[in-house]
Formats: sequence, C-alpha cells, structure tokens
Amino acid sequence: MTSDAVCALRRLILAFAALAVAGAAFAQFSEEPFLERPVLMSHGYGLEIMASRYFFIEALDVLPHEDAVEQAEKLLDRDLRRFEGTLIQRDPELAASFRAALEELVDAAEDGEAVAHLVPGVRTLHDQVVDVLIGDFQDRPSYLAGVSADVLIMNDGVAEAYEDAADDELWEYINGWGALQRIKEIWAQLEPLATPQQVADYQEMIDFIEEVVYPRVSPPEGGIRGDPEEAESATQRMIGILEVVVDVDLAPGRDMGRLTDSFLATTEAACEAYDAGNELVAVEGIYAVRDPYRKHIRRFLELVAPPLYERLGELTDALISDDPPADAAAACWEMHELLSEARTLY
Amino acid sequence: MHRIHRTCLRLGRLTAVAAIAVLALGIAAADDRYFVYISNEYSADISVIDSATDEVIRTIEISGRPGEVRPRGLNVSPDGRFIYVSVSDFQPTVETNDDVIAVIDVSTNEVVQRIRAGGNPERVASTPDGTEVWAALEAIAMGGGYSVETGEEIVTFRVGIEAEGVDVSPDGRWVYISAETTHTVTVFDRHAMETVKHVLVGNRPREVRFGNDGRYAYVSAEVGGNVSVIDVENDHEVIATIDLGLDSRPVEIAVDPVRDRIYVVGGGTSAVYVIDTNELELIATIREGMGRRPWGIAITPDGSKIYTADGLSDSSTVIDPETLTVIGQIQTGRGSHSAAIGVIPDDE
Repeated sequence: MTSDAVCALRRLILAFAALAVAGAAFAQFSEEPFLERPVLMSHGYGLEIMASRYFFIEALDVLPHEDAVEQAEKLLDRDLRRFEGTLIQRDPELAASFRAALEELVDAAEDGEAVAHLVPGVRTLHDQVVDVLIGDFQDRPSYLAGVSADVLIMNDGVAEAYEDAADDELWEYINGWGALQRIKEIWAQLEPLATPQQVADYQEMIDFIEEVVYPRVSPPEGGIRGDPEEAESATQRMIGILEVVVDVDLAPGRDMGRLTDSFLATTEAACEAYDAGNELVAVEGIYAVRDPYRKHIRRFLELVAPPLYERLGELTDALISDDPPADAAAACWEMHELLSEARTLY
Repeated sequence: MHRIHRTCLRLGRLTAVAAIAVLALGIAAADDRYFVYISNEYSADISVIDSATDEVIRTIEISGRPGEVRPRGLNVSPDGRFIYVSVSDFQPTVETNDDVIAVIDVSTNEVVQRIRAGGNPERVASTPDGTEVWAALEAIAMGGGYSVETGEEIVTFRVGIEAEGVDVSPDGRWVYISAETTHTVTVFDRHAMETVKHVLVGNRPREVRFGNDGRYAYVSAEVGGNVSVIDVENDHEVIATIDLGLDSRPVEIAVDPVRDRIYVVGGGTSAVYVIDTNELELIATIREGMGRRPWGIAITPDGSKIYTADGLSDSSTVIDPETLTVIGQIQTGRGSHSAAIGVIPDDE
C-alpha cells in the first residue's frame, strides 16, 4: 500500500471513529423554553394553573370549605396577575371580559353558590386568551412539555399541592387533583410522539399518582397521613420522560449561571416597565423570575449567602403583593442588583 | 462525544493502593461468599442475598409497618460485620421514634441496635475505625454524627435542603453530605468539629462517595445528569464534571475496591455507567438485562460481583465487573432502594 493510500485509510478510519463517537453522544436537548422564552412560559404556567383549577371547581360545584374557596380566589389574586398586563395591551376587550367572568365565578363561590355551570363560559374566554398570549406556540410540543413540567412540580401543581396539603394546608389538595387532570389532557397531545415504552412509563406514573395521591377531588377527611413527598419522585420521573419524548430541557436550574443571566434580562425589562409606569406588565416579569428563582436558586443562596437570600425574598414577595412598595421601580432595580451579586457566587 | 470538563490532568493509578487498602482492612470472606443487603422502601424490610447462590436467604423486617416506616440508605462497617440502615417515617414535619439508624449483625442477620437519629435519616456512612456513623438528615437539613457504642449523638450541623448523600473519608477526617435542593456538598471537618465549606455540584445531587485513597470524592447529580469530582486535598474544589447525559438520572455510586473505576446507576435510563477514575471518562454502559429504575449499587469487597437495587422491578441485578454484563436478576422486596455488602464471618 502506498503512503498516500495509508494516509487516506487513516483519514477514513478517523472519520468512521468520529461518527461512532457522535452516535454514542449523550442526550443534550435541542430546546430550552424556560431560558429562551421565560415570560411566555410564565404566562403559560399561569394559564395552565387556572385550567387546573377549573377542574376542581366543576367537580365540586359548591365549594365546601372557605379554604377551598380560597383556592378559587387565586384565579384573580394570583394567576391573572401573571399575564393581565400583556393581555390588556394586546386585547383590552378580551381582558375585561375575562376578568368579569372570573369575578362572577369567584363571587359565586364566595357566596356558597353552585359554580360548575359558569366554568364552560370561562373556559371559552380562557382559550381566546391563550390564542392572544401564546399564539401558535401553544401547539408546540416543547411548550406543552414545559407547561406540563410546571404543572407537575411548581406551586399549586401535582407535587407541591400534596406537600402543602400534608403540611396543614389541607385544601391545597384540590389544586393538585385539578393539576393532575390537566396533565392527563396535555399528555394526550404529546403521547403520539412517544415510544410504547415511554407511554407505558408515563402512564404508570399517572396511574400511581391517581391511585395513591389523588384518588378523588376532595382531600381525605382525616388529613394526609402518608409521605408528603409521595408525588415528587413520580413527577420528577415524568419530567424526565417528557424531556426525552420531546427533546427539550425542562430543568433550567441545571445551569444556575445561565438561569440567573436569564433572570437579569427579564428583571431589567420589568424594571424598565416600572420606570415607564406600566406596573401590570412589570409585575409579570417579576413573576417570571420569582417562581423559577424560588425553585432553583434561592435554597443555594439561603445556605451560602443568607443576607442576599433574605433581601431577595423580601423584594420579590413585596413586588407581587397587593401592597407593593411605593417606589416599585427602585425595588425592582435593587432586585436586579442583588441578582447580579448572586451571579458571582456560581 | 461525551463531554468532560477538566481542570486537572490525569490521576495517578490507584490499583496498587486499593489492593493494599483491602488487605490492610483485613476483610475476609468465607470462600468469597458475601451477604448482599437490599433495602426495600415500601415493604419496609431488607432482603438478604447469598452471593454464592444469588438467592434471597432471608428477609429482615425493619418496622412491621410498611407504608409508615421505611428503610432506605445502607452502609457497611469497615470490617463488613455490620450493616447500617437509615430508617425513617413518612412524616418529615414530625419527629418520631421511628427515625433511627438500625444496625444489622451480619453473623445473625438480626437487628441488634437502633441508634436514634431524628430528622428522617436518608443515608448513612461509618467512620473507617467503625466507632461512629454519620447520617444525612433529610427533613431538617442537617448532618449528624453518632457513637456506635453508646448510640449517643455526637454533633449535628447545618447542611443544604433535602440532605441525602453522606460519606466519611478513608482517613476519617472529612464528612461530606450532599443536598438535593441546594445542589451542594457540605464539607465537615470531623477533627475540628466544624463545617469548612459548601461546594456547589451538579443539579440535584443524590450521593457522594470517596475514592479508595480518599484523594477524590464523586457526587452524582440526578437532574444534572453528571458526576462531579471533588479534589479533597485542593480545598475541596470540583475539578471535573463527567457528563452521563441529561436523561441518565444518576443516583448511587459504588467504588471498585480493586479496579480504578466507579459504577453509577442511572435511574432514568435503567443503566449502570462505568467510569474510569484515572481518565475521568465513561468506558462502558450496561443496559441489557438491567432491572427497572436502579437506585442502589454495591460491589463485593473482592470486586467479583456488582449488585443493584431496582426500585420499579423490585429486584437486584447481578453484574460481572470483568465482562460488564448482567449475569442475573433476583426478586427482592417492594421499592428496592439501596445495596450494601456484608462479610460473612469465617466460622459461618
């Protein structure tokens, strides 16, 4: 064999070797919705938690306890605030109609009236709101997987609601039951993308949660006796399955640095909105940062930088409260500065 | 291409050191036969497997109250004669008498001691001299040290939220405790009795294990899909991160006593990842024949067999570390969680 031929053969061997190694590459996902579109995903989370609540409102009809009514009140106190500012900007009529429908529902619930008959009308408006805020993205598998992850593990979702219910907030349970119903609905849209094994695995987790954690809409009379984290392991597994099925990174906390960089960008936009006097839009940005910050970053700061952790907690809680700081813009910029400081720790 | 982020070059070869360590510990097995212990979280018992036959020879009841009290992490005393079991209830907000470290005598397979360890101990490790056990107290974000002889608490100290992994360095000086929610390993100096630092590792760390010579420690990160390598002698800094894939969901780690390897179970992929600790790279992945959702893993002191604890198939998978293939499956109890190997006394 000539030296040229040997060299060519070596190049060929190396090329095949490179292909073989590439073929053995580990799963690294191609989309990162929580980093790429944090505010949109926050809007989506708010909308999906609302959709989850409609389930228990329909199922219970007359909400049997003041703490159950409190869960319905969150539609206005909390969920709507995640996106109302943007909705008003894009479609003020729809925003007004949606708010009015929610107020009617919540008022009826507070008065102890039957409310199930009001849910279809709210859902119709809700779907229009999704069209305005989420648009075509609503059908994208990465979006559906992302909101599923939030509904599985974030506040008032499948896992957290059960944990809260076990910790003396018993009627949080109905949020989790409702969240499970919504998870099943979304999965029906994603299931065609999954292999038979993935379908079986995901369904196994749904069945487990349904049987053991949320067998009915109402919490058990004697309270939660078992493991408060009963659902956590199953929900984490479900998220792992969704990541592979959809090829999407659903754990933005994997890289705390990149996540905080995303927080800084979102917070900056929120502070500029405060500066411009647009508080409703600004607070959406605060929500979009606060929830993933609490989930993925704050416990680390609590351990290694307690004063930073405390002050960030005070600021984020205050900015989303019913009684925000008089100078919300200043509070927001301080929050931005503290996040910059946190960024230097990792 | 799997990605490895290094800030150091190659590690020294450990095989000779490991062999000497094994001899120095004086671990003796009767005809290379061991008892393999598998904790079963939901049936609240321990399956005891005879490694000579790979059959379950006994089931040790831990509480008699499955669904209320659960065994999880396991560890073995340095001489292999006692198995330590982290036992806790399902009520993290309420401290009960169910939170203990149970001690099983390998010669009788009976629980001979229960050391009170409040705060839902999830995993436990013993000191090299066998006089103390240390636990990660999941519910109260603390680490705790306890005297084996008296059962008394020596110290508790603050760690991250959802403490889980724990190990003691071979020289007995360092206690490392990982925390899932804080993504940290807390370094506790056992000689000075003080916390030295909190080290940021991969996302949602599950277990930490010191290597045979104690120079490095390995931390699995379930959501991060990687293993962090901590240089114990260099200010406990993370010097490398070994990627296993974001879908791998690694949990327990077993350190090979005779080869320069660690084995990491992947709960998400139902696989065992084999990592060369000199090259800090993955050299093999075992999938075929594996049980479902392996969480626990242990290797016999002579390095001849690997056993996993498979939580969704309620089984233990047996692996040959020479061929890196599955050679058996053993039915254990419900929710198999961890594995540990006990040394059968010579007169057994």
